[in-house]
Amino acid sequence: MNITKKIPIVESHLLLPLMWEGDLELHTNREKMSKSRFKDAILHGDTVLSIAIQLVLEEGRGWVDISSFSASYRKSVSVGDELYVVYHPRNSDSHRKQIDFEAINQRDELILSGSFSVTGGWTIEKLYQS
Amino acid sequence: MKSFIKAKRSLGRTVLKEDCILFAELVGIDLEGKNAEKVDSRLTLMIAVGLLNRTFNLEEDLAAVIGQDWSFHKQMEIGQTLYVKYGLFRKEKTEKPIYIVEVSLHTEDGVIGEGHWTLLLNREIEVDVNV
Repeated sequence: MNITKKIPIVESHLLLPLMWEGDLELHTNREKMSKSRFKDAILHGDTVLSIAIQLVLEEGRGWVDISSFSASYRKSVSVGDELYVVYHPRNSDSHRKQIDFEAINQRDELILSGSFSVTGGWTIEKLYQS
Repeated sequence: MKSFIKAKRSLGRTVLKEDCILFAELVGIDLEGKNAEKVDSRLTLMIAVGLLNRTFNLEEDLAAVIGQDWSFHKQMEIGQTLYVKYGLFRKEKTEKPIYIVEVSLHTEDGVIGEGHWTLLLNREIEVDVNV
């Protein structure tokens, strides 16, 4: 099993994406969200997906172009949570590599499962030794 | 449908260099040695979702984003303007009001990618609308 480092989720993860994705009151209205089923303001799912992919990319090195990705969301993420990723390679060739992954929080709960594919020279030596 | 769809088509959004710098800070990308003119496809997605968020009445009707699936033919370049075209469809054989937004991503160079966004809404709406 391949596991990334764990990172803390901080306010910039919550706030920066608002300029691109908007708010919808899910992300900055803490009073409203404290009464919701989420119990707190939550990150955009795209932010969690982007961070999770980045944690895997940092396991390798080299130039990368992310050509596809997908995600199925299970739980939300809020400031103060921690995130790490479990990942494993699927199909790959010299030009295109595919990774399946699960993002997990500090309570070892599944946040999302997904996959992404990359082209370029990026590689993880422990996975792609030739 | 008008109560759910706020705009007939998406607005456009030009991607700036500072967008890419801030996205790199957000996820922890070291930009040194990277192609400074290319836009990360994850940032392209965020901007596309932002355009969709302004197109639909999600403040009142969104219960949860269930999933998404995207593929990109090529990366955007800084200075290009993104807009989206979409179709909205009811997911079959589900009791809950789950809808799929089929999306294509466009710049002035044409289609750069496509994907779908799966949403759980708070209510049933009209479907099969392509704008």
